[in-house]
Amino acid sequence: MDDTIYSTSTQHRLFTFTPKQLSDLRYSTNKAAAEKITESIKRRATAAGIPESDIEEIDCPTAEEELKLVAYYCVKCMQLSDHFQFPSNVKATALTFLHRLYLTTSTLTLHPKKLLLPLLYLATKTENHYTPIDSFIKTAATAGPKVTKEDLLDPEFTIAMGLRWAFQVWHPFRGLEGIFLELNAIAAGRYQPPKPKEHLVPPAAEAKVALLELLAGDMDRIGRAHGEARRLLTTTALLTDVYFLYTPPQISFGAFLEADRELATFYLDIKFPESDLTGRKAKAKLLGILDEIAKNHLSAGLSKESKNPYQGLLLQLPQNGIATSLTTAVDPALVKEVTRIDKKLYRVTKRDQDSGGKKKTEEGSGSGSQSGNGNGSGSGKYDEDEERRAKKRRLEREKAEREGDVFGANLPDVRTAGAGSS
Amino acid sequence: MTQILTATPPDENCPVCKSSRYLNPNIRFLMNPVCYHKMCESCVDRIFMQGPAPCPVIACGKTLRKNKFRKQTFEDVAVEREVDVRKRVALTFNKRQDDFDSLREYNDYLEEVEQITFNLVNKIDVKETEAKLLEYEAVNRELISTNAARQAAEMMALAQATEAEKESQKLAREMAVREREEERREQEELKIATLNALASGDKGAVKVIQEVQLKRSGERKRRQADEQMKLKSLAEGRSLLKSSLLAGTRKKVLEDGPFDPLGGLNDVNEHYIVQDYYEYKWLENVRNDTAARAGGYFVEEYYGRSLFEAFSGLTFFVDEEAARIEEEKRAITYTDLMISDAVS
Repeated sequence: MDDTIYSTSTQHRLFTFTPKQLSDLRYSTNKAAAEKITESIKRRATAAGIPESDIEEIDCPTAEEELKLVAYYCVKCMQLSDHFQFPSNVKATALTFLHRLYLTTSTLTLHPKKLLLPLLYLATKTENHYTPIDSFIKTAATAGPKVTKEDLLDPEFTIAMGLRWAFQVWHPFRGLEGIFLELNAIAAGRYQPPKPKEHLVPPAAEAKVALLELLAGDMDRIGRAHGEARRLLTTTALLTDVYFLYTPPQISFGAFLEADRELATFYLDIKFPESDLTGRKAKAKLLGILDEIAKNHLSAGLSKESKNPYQGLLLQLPQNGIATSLTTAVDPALVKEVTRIDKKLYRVTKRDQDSGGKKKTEEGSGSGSQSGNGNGSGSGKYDEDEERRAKKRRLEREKAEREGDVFGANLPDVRTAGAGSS
Repeated sequence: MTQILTATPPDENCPVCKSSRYLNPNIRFLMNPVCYHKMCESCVDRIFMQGPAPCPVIACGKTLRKNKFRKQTFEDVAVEREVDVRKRVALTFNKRQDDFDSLREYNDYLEEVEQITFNLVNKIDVKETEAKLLEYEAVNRELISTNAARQAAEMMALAQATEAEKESQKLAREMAVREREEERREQEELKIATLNALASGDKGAVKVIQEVQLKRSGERKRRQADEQMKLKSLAEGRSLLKSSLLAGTRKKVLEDGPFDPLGGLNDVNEHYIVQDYYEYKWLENVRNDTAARAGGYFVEEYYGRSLFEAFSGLTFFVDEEAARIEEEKRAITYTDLMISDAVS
């Protein structure tokens, strides 16, 4: 039954993918946005009178570049959260929101820099860590950026839509605590196995003895493993794609495996005893998955030069030039690269704004859409739409007044009218 | 048949002796279920007094016996015939719905019975049908007898139950009447006593009398309530008895055990047990914090939740779910205010 509860969560239903699906999603988002913006620029240019052949080449950031940019801002968000001294679940939620948002939104539509603080504020609200908005603004000011209330609250709607209104994020932190509760109970000789496995597992005293043997007198080892695993979860795991590819308990077990392989294997053997023949296949598969997490995502030994097990796929791995830790994030080469991408992005979006006149609005408003729809495709079109809609509304209002139905038209009419204009 | 159902049959002549009702007002008609021919009582006596004789109706020559003659219950002779056939068939084919595993089987059985009845009534393949009847009877002899016994028992039980109910109602009525009598009498007495007391000018006595009256009425009410309860429980007990006697279900207990409302779902987790206490320094300050505990927080909740999250979804493997994920993505969720994702 535990598994069925998790399967009903939005995290599992909407935001879990295979590596290929994840990569495809990123590519297609980028493609759609790039197409929209090139089309819009071209249209503006032709409207302004420039013939098609004279239009400068439109250099949109590629999916890889976008990913690098987003990853860099993720690190910045992490640093911000540490500055605010928010608990790890707030930090984790904010980062997860950022990752999820940029799966279906492109940086061409929304620039991540402006969203860092609103996301963080949203995360405090989601994780029940109430921060009065004024103190938030004050602390933010000490870190550098000056924000106003509107800056924090206006993007929330767009963000929420990008997150598909799924705010609950399941983190691996509590799971890790659970693992160590049991491990410490084993060490104290008080472990009780679950009913179905009672006869397969060694009795508590034996288990304690085995554990102590393993520790070989180093009683702090459990504490150290705990600390290391937690550190991995609050830093590295949040900068990789593990939340999309694996379930939270798998992530916590993976982190444990990475932190102290022997201890973790010992614990897994007790939980999934070798003598349990029916569970053997599942256990083997589970171990494979945990290994994957440990080696491919969380291992500290990964760097740009390591072999890429997901060759050709666009995932957040150091092999793809993504910063997966705070230390690598300050690498000057990476910073330079990110700045270059940022400039590129700026050039493209500015071109899109230029011949239009009206300032591109950051927030969704009215037709707020993601991935190059609505806003990205040009404010000119936006004006026309708005005018058309206003006119329609006015006409409808006059008609209703004439007909004397003060409460407005029947519901179906209103709905179709609404769909038509938006 | 538009004949009026009156107490006296409309035809007044006996077909055999032609004597009419006018001549003999007490004339009574009998008929024999062998050939369903009707004749007056005197004819029956005259013709069959010395034993079996052929039927006096010209076309029919069947040998009839005097003791088989009986009064006709239905106006229409055909109906009478059919009813007799059905009675005979029902004696043999007396299975019930409970004896069958499915409705379909029961309906098939009923169809068979009807077919036999139809054949017998309309004189189609009489010999074969009769043979079938006999065969069925031979095969299911025991079953038929048990069914018959059950039916008889049920009839008896039902009769007893209705009897008892009638009894109890009668008792209740009598008791109510008696109660009312008593009440009336008491009221009268009290009235007389009060008057006397008032006449004698003894205020104290008046009060005493009134108190007594109140007490008596209270007692009576209580007694009435008790009686009602008793009667109700008696009735309930009887109804239970009735239902248990008539219950006699022979349906097999479901092969896979009794009905499980949760369909096999339970909250026993297969990976862990939550113990009462876990050693953890970090939790000490919560354990000792009266403010937190006063609010109703239990540290055991923390254990349960942590262990739950440690194992919930552990055995979900994404590659197995890949197809489902694709499908899920294409489905429009109600949380999507906008359907126009660029990537859908």
